[in-house]
Amino acid sequence: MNLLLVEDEPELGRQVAVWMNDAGHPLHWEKTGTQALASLRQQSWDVVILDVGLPDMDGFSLVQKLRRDGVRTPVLFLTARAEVSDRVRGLAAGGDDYLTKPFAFEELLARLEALNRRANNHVPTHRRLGKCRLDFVRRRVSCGPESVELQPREWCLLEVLMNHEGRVLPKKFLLEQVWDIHFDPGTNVVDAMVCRLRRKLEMPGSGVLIETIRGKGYVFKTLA
Amino acid sequence: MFSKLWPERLPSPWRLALLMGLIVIVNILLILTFVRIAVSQDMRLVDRSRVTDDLIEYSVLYTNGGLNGMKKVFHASQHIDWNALRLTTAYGKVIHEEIPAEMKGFPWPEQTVKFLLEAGDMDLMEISSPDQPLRLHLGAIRLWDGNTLWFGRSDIQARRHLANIERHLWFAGLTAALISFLPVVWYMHDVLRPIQSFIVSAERMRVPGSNTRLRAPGAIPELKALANVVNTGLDQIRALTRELQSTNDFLAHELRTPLARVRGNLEHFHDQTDNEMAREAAARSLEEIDRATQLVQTLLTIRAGDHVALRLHRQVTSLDGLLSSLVELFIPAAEDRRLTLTLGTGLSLTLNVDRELLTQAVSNLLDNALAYTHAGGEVKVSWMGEGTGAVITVEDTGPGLHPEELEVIWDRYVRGSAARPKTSGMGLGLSLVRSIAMAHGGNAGGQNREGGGATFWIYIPGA
Repeated sequence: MNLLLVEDEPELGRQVAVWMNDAGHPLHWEKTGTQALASLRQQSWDVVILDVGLPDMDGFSLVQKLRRDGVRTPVLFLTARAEVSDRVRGLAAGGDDYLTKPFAFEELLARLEALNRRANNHVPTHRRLGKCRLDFVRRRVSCGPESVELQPREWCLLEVLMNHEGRVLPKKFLLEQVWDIHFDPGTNVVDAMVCRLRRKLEMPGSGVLIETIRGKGYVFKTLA
Repeated sequence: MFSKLWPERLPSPWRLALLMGLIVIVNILLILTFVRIAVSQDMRLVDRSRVTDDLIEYSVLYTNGGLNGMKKVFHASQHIDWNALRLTTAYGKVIHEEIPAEMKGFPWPEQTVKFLLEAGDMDLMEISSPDQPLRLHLGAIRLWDGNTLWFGRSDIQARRHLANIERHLWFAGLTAALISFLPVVWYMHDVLRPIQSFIVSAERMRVPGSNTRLRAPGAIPELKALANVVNTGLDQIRALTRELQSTNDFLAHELRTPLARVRGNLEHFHDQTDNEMAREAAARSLEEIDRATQLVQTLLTIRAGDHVALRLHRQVTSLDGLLSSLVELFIPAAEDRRLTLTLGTGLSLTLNVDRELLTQAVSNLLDNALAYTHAGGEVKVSWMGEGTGAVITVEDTGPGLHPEELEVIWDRYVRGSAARPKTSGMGLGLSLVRSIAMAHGGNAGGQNREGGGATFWIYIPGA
């Protein structure tokens, strides 16, 4: 992915730049809105990471300008504002995703990859996992003669985990993607659901592993 | 003091009018009594002196013109109706008398009280009779020939005067009473009406985000001053709320950004280190940072909710849909704890609410219910319409609440005694629930269930 980061905070900018380079994504870092607009007009990017509070302009109005100019590049907002109204405002301004600080690095990466994938319209119809076959259209898992019954939320959770295979996904991210919940409900609801899914998938020898990484989240791995 | 004399529910203009009426009537009666006493005394003196004058006049007439001359003058007199004349011998034998019909009823005495010795000696008496409403002023004089001349005069004229004065006094008194009701009208217009408009404005202020102020055009200066003071206070509160809002934003940004910097470095460390113990410590720290972030957000929401500065993002939301997806979210966790979590059935309801905040409020109640209910227990979520709003209840079969804790658990940083040490939390859950309910113009509360356990409810009015 060819990324553009617009962030005025030096330490956060540095961290994101280092991470993205480690992950193998070239990243260009701009520190003001004006400079960002200039580089967006000059060159095309796969995804833009945009801080909302910039010294010279508001990230929301930057996106509005961008969309008026006809630039369709996916934009991910990075912000310290967690209220619903701010999120709605960001998405209404033409943003594609919204991540509040502080965030987990792999969540940022997962979101960026998702945005990039969405932009490229890459949707598989089925997938093989060990002895099992996952049908994305009919939302069914069949392992040889047997088939595993997944409830809609379980399927949704599996899809999110699988879409970000190998990435450690934080609980917060899964709550947002699967249940559309943007706060921590306290009770270990995600843990309970992941355990249930794990039990259903690991039994028939699908070669699937859903690992829990303490302090970070859950990761979907295939053993094969 | 007066307020005890009549029921509380009587409107104050009526009270004032009643009081004024009472005062006016008592005043008129007092004035009438004293005027009556004074006028009667004066008229009695007048009557006595008239009797004396007439007696002397008629005795002169008798001396000059004899009985006939006296009779002529008496008949020519205008006030023949209430004057009477009688001539007797020294021993009381009546020689002649002129007593009009109205005065026949009085018992005339046979003899004078004083013994009249010489010509010109006089005596004055007052005679009243039980069958006569009037009083008779009576005078006697010894004439030159030894006979006695009696002259009587009833007090009817005095009574007519008095009645006339009383009539005028009543008229004056009632006119004065009408004038004295002007303060009642003034009171209703300048005092009561502004107060009622204050009440209406104050009612409107309960609506979150309302910018209503007290208005008192045409009110008395004191009420205008009160309205000004209250409005200044409200302006200050509003300014403070705005300031709080911007402080909230500032705080959120200022705390979140350093937390993000720390988290980023910590995560890097966690991923890079080969030392198992260091990684474990980093993982714990990451959890703590996430908890701190959640705490900052919860605190901001609670503070904002208290001051109605919470910006609600209202959406038309299906309440049954919201609750069923929430229950579905909690069911795996409830089953892990061997609890039965059920959703009651009810009519479909749509509410205009901040979907996310309401979800958060109900999930806090569910989180509590799951944490405090022992294995094998039950947790039930239900809802019902209340006017155009709704009441959502979460019941559990846990240990319930200590009666003394029923209210304090809603305060910040207070945790119920049933809170087990192993459950984490700052005691902010319930105050967040209440803040969210109040930001919607509703409320939240809790009580013990019959047969053990607790019930918590959230009331959201229709918007």
